[in-house]
Amino acid sequence: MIEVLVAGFVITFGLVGMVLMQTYTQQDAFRAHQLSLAGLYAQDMQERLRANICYLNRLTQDSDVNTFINNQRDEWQDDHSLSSRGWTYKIEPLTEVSDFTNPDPENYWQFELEIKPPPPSRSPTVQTLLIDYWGGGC
Amino acid sequence: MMESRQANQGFSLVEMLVALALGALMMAGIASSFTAITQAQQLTRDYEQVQETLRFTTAMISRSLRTAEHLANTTDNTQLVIQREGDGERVACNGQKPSSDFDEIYSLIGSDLQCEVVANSGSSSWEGTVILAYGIENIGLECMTFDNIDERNFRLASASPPGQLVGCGDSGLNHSEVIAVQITIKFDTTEFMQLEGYPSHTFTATLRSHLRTCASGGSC
Repeated sequence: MIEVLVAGFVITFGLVGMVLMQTYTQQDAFRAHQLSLAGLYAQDMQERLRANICYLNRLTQDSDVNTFINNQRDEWQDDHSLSSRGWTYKIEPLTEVSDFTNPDPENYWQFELEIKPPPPSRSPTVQTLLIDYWGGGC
Repeated sequence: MMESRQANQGFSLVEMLVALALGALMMAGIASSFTAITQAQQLTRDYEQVQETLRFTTAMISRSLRTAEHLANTTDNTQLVIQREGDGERVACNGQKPSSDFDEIYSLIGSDLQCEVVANSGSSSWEGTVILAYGIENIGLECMTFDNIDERNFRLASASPPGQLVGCGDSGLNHSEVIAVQITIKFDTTEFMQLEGYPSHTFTATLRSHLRTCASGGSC
């Protein structure tokens, strides 16, 4: 009787272990998928900004740059349904308009995009987006 | 005599019933675990497949558009025709290196995303068709034209003028002015059983080379 109970316990323990392992594998696969998506979303944002290269390079006020970025961000998140799917995001310019007129001017607009997938992902993905600077627009 | 009787003693009825009950419980556990494990493996496979499809198609189409001369005319909203320069070094979507100018035609045939390489004049050995991805229900293509003054938005109502994105096959579109394409891929849920309700994926690709040409001249 004791032997049967011990055998039953060992087999049950093994089965629970196997199921748990599958659950963790599934979570890891989903997390990897989310990270991959975050990279694709960042790439999409970069391309959206690049499509506006002429407009961006005509801007002379930081407030206008912020308005532009917010417009693009809203549309980008809308296209990917990010908010409704529990993703959080933040984009802000790292360069200012005055950086391009310094004696040692910047060659690129720099924007930092932070995207955080919903659980089980724990940490956000941060990407720096670079867009060519052409003085005075096109 | 006494020892022989003890040696022949078997399990009692109660022991047998308990062992049977435990065995039945274990079998039920194994059966349900097996189903759960199979489903988990299928789900993991589906995620891998979707991820690979997205990464590959995004990279392939983005690369084609990045170096494109311009979009060729097409009246089909589900077909993307990209005109590229062939110099014997650049690799086309079918893996060949065309030696003269060519078109890459991305289209959805059934649930397969295909790319066909066609020479602009005559026929060549490097022409051909490849399947890039399968399990796709439909694709949406929208084109954005160049503007050197105003902000280009895809469809925000606050944009001026609103909705600057048009179908790539629309008759009023001047294809030589297109500088960005927005592509939406919707996966076929019958192929990805475990990903029912998976959201479609949208990505943008700019015609970087063409955009530079347009921007430097102020128009395309």
